[in-house]
Amino acid sequence: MKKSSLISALALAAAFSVPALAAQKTVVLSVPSMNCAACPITVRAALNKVPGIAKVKATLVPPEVVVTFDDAKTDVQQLMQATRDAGYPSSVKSGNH
Amino acid sequence: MKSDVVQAASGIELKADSGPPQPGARVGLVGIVAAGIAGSLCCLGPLVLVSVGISGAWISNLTLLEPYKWIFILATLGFMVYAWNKIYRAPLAADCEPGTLCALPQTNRRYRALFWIASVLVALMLIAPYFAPLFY
Repeated sequence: MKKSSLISALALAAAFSVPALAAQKTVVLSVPSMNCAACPITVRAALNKVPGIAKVKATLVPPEVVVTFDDAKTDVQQLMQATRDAGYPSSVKSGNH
Repeated sequence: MKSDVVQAASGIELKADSGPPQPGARVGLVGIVAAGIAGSLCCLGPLVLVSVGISGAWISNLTLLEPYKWIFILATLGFMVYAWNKIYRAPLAADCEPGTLCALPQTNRRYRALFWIASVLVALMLIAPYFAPLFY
């Protein structure tokens, strides 16, 4: 009885730990050309089109965007590509990527 | 000639039912729209392109226009004053040559409607930056 519940608990833990392998990571991108009121909306819209994006927070002051993403589906290069293709080249400021 | 006398006598008084617009009214309306679009290119342009799925590094050329947007906004306001003058301080219908665009009253109604539609769009463009942070 006790052993089987331990096994099922392990199985449960394993089931939940699989998605955890694809860790959510957060990166702060500096977007110097994001200097107008509508710009952060554009950058956010561009990043939201990238698969694996969990959260995007763009600010005008400072001109940065904080992106939380699934590193199994995308990476920082793709995020930078997305902002560049929307007209706003970016560079990595900080993050656990 | 008659309109000159009326305008001179009435100063800035509105002549709401004074008749059809002068030929420049169309130029004024086109100018409002053209300058308004030019003024929006830098900042709303990329958002529109991204929204419809167009992308490319070249879009950054649009964002470079940002420092010049005030020139286009001033031009837009200039065209609005010009169009308003042409549409609302128009000559009397009697002064128009019969058979011309100018002699048709419905032309003026249409121009007035277009003028106010354009004005609302320009107003939206000017106040949009203050509401933009709601969408960050």
